[in-house]
Amino acid sequence: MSIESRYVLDNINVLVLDDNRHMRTLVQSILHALGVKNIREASDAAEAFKELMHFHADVIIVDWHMEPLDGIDFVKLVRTAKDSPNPYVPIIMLSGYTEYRRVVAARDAGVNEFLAKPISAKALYQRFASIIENPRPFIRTKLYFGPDRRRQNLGAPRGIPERRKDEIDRTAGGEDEGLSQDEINALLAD
Amino acid sequence: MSDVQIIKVPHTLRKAKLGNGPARLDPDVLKKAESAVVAMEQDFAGWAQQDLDTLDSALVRLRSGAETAADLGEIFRVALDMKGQGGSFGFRMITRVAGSLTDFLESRTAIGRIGIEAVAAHVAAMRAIMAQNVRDDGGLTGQALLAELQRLTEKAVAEKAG
Repeated sequence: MSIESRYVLDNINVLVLDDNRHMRTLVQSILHALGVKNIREASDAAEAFKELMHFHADVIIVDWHMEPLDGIDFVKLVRTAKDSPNPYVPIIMLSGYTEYRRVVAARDAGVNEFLAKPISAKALYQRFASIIENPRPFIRTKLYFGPDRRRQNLGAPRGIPERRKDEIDRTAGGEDEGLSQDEINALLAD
Repeated sequence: MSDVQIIKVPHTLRKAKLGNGPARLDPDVLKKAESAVVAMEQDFAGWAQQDLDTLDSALVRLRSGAETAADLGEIFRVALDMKGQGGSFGFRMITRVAGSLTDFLESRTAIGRIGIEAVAAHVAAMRAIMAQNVRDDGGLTGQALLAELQRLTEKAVAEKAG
């Protein structure tokens, strides 16, 4: 008799970094309901980096828009700082900005997953499942250190409709429209 | 030596899955997590009121002529928070209106008279949405509201450009 496989998140450590305490509360509540017991939170990048020195995070959830260091700065710090205690830790980036160029910037900083705000319990659960199911090797080049991005050429991302490609080409570097969570997943997927 | 180094990383999250076969999201766990979010909706209503009060205070300073980049930065920051939180708690219309406001204010360090009124219109719209407990996208009324806000912000952008 085969036993159905399932996710058990009660034995993983999660660090939540967001400068907004309401968002931290929301993410923590979802994580608790998903079974995560060991959660630490931080309100700025410096505090979070310090926390990592004695808390072995299995996953980090980080907001993009923060000051003085933003989420991208923090990801780069975790991935490349000489004193980083855990450069390989999976990182989920949260952001209300989902334009193509921003998702690519997050990917190039070394995030594993990108979750669009507003968030939902299902979307967060799915990002955890994706990290668990799709472990990636790390790549080190002169210009990049992080999870295998699979896509060196930033042309039309697989899974994104041709219409979207046209829009992206027209507005490259400009005010392009936000991508849906499905389009983001396609961009970051293997 | 190759310029590209591939590093096999230990799969530390293997411990988060029981079994080797395909797994699916547990519907009971998901339901519990969704219920946790619903239980916080009333909290969001309170947080939104605080955020709207903060926006009103910044507006008073802007209208007094003491406009500062710091005030605009604060309005942007609060609106960005509301954009992210609104839809997360079922208030999709808050996300749309706050998103319209952040789109207008992003990278802006100064605005004119019409710009201030555009900000005020966004704040008033969000107050009305919360007061009427609008949970969906507002239907036709919502579309008309967004169109009007868009018209105002375009006018404000033209004001500065002119």
